[in-house]
Amino acid sequence: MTSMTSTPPTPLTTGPVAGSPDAAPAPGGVTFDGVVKRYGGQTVLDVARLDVPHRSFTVVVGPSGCGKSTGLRVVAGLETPDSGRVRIGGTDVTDTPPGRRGVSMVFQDFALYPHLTVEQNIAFGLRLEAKHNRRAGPDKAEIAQRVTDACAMLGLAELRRRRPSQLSGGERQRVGLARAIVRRPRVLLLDEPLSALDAQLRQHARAELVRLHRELGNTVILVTHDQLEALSMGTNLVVMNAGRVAQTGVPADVYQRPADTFVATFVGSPTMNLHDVEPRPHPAGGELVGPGIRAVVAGAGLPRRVRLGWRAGDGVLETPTGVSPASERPTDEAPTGPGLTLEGLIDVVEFTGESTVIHCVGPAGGWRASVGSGVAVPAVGERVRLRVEPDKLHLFDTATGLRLADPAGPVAEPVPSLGGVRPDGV
Amino acid sequence: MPGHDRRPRATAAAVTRHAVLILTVFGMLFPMLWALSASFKPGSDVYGASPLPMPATLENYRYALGEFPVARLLLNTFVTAAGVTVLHLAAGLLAAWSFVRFAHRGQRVVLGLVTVALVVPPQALIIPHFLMVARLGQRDTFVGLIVPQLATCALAVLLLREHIRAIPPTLIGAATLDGATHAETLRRVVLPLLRGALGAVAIVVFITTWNEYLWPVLVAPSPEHTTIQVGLQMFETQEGPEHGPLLAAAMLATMPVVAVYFLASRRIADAFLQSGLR
Amino acid sequence: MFTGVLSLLEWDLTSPDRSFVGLDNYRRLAEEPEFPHALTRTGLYVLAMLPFATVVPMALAVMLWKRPGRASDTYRSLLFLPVVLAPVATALAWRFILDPLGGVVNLTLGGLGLPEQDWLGDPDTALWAISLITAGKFVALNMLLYGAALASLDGRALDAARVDGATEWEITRHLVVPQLTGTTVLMSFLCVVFAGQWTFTNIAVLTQGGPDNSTDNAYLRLYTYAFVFFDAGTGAAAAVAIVVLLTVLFAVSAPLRRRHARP
Repeated sequence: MTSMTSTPPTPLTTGPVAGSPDAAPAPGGVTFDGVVKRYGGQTVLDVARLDVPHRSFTVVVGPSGCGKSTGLRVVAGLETPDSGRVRIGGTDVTDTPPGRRGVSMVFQDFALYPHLTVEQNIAFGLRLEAKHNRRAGPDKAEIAQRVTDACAMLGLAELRRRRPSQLSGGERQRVGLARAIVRRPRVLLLDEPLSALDAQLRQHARAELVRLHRELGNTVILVTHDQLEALSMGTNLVVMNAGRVAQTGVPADVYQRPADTFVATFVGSPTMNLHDVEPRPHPAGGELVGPGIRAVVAGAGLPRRVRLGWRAGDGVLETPTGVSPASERPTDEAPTGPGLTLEGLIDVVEFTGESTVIHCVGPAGGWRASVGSGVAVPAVGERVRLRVEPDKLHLFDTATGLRLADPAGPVAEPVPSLGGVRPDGV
Repeated sequence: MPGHDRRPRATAAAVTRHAVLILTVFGMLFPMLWALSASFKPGSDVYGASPLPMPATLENYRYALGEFPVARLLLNTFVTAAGVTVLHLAAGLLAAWSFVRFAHRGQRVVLGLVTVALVVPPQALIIPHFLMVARLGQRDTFVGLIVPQLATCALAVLLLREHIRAIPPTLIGAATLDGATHAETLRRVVLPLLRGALGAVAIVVFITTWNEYLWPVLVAPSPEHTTIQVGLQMFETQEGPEHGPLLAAAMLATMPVVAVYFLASRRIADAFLQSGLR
Repeated sequence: MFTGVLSLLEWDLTSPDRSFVGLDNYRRLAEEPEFPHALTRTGLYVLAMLPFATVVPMALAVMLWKRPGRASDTYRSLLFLPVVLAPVATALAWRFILDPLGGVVNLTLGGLGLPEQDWLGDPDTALWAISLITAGKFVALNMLLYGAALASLDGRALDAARVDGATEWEITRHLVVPQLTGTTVLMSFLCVVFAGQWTFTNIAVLTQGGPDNSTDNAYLRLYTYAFVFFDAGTGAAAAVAIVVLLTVLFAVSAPLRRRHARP
């Protein structure tokens, strides 16, 4: 596969943007203000406020039907919101037709025109622009130059005369990208652009997209349901659930401090373990107790019911035979130190290559722990005990699902958020 | 295929199968073949029992083309069929496109009406059509002959609608984002993708109109405008039954379509299949 | 719609005077013998052609489907020809071979020592002759539609039966034919709708409804009222009656068609 790694950055990055005399891309921040979209009485999108920063690579993630694709189509102008305003670069575009918003889009199925060649596909929008706007639109030479540049950038030079049916999935994706960037959009919208590719290609394409964003320097919004893409690609992450924004922030922050139980379980794999526990007073702050589970945390003023979470990779495993990365010996007496202690029987062992995921059952219900590949794996049926350090624990209010004070420190700072729902109780 | 199987029972079955099929083909086409053969027989021998025209002569064809306006009738038929076909395609395309693109609440009702229109027999429509054409003074004109035949375009609408719906919506979205207007999307994206379906509609409409008998006989009975199907009647009413030339003209009335059919039988059968299944 | 209004008028199509006669036209249709007679004859046409719309094309389609290949493709394209052949030309060809005096059919029958017949001139045979002539088009088109239904059958289920030791005949009888029931119901319905329409041209060219009105049908009757007797009102009433009858039939048969609708 030819990749743009072999191609030096083209003047596209610094060249003038259509409709703008500036050297840098026009402001491309996207703002949603009270945007609501309903289909037949059902609200599919309800975003009070969302800011996508200019020049960011923003990944919107959520389960299918959460409204993320609808949101993207609202930005594109393919859907009109029932209420609310959409701004691009500070300008209200809610009533601007799609072709005049300075946005372009790569569709999930790439939506290449099957009757046109690769270069005709890429030039389609420019040719229309030239026809609609004879004075300011691009002339023939400019169209040819821009199509050539876009092809070079995406390694399509050899494929210019082919038709979409003669291309592989990865090649089609790159044609879709070329068609989108040739118009020099302020905002590039990507609707699950990697889901049609096979696994190997997908990894490569992820890196290419990140590099492309760096070279173009415009705003990119990518919609995906793949939480790996969500964490790895963007500079800014938006998690959506049931039409609403659940959390926004830098991917690492969202991963480390999920705002609620939905984000906690949706982002990260294997998904976060959650247990319902009851708080009791403790000299160190609070003691959280449930069947087969006990934790000591620093926080105070906990609600009556608390949901305790920990990530599979944050647990330290102890077995009766003493196999443990932390070399702590299991004892029969209850541990007293801060942090979480949990017991269970090993039910299923999943080897994934770089690590091993252990599914356990115990009085606290089912839970999963992930062990590095260097660690000897206990056998199925063995009893294990697991410890999690207090700074790796997450506390949520059982009633609201929202994140509580950080269990490790005395006070947690607010979750970085550019809008949407702010976690309460901090 | 026979011959692959060496077992005698299978061979017998294959022979039976071919015999049945050949007899059926023969039975269904016999009248046409016999008439075709007879049309080459000299006048005195038209009713002769010989299956092949011996001696063969073009006398009947020469007579039909010379003494009767058969050439003119064929031209009329072609003009009518082509006109109806073009109108069907245009109306069908626009209607189907607006069904898909501008979906609205009343759509189901309109669509239901179009479907009903498919089952209404054309004979039930001829009276009002005839009256309208007569009122507008378009009797015995190509306009009167062609335009009312547009009434049967429900088939084209429904068929094209199916095909437009099969176009991925993202493709229309891509064109919209590329700045295309409705008309441009229709002309530059939808139309090229519908080539196959439009071809199918054109084939079915052209053949059906070519073969249409009832409407031309009513509305345009004069040789200046009427079609060959109606014109065949002239051979009887004017001169008494002149069988040789009549058969020759009948062959001329159907052979153009048959010739085209043999050039693209697969495509034409598929076209009828698509429209038949709708 | 206009037809509906017309059916309430008495009007000779051309003169400016027309009068509202209410349901008189319908009463005339029901009371005078012609229209009920025409409806009965239409029913006979349907019955006569039903096998040619269902069993015959189904058998042909299955035969061709079982052994795909060049030979089957050729048979298929030849068998489809009646659909594209001009009905008037076909009718004339039939009249030519059925000619009571010199037609090849009677010559052959005579040669074999069998009784000759005036097939189209005898009230006892004319309707069947017209049906047979029209049947070719049904066989041709429906064979194609059955072929499409067969092409969409799940071949794996048939392979499973073969593995279970079923013979080809058993597979046809117990697996293929039952799965074609939906198509057969549809074909029967189409036969009812189109029997009258498709015979129309043949009747108009060959017998004009005669002899003794034996080959009349509802559509020809409607045409006769309107354009032979110039009685637009009664013609329109006949048209409305036909559409209403078909609609009722359509509605009544809906559950049957739905039950056998292909998924």
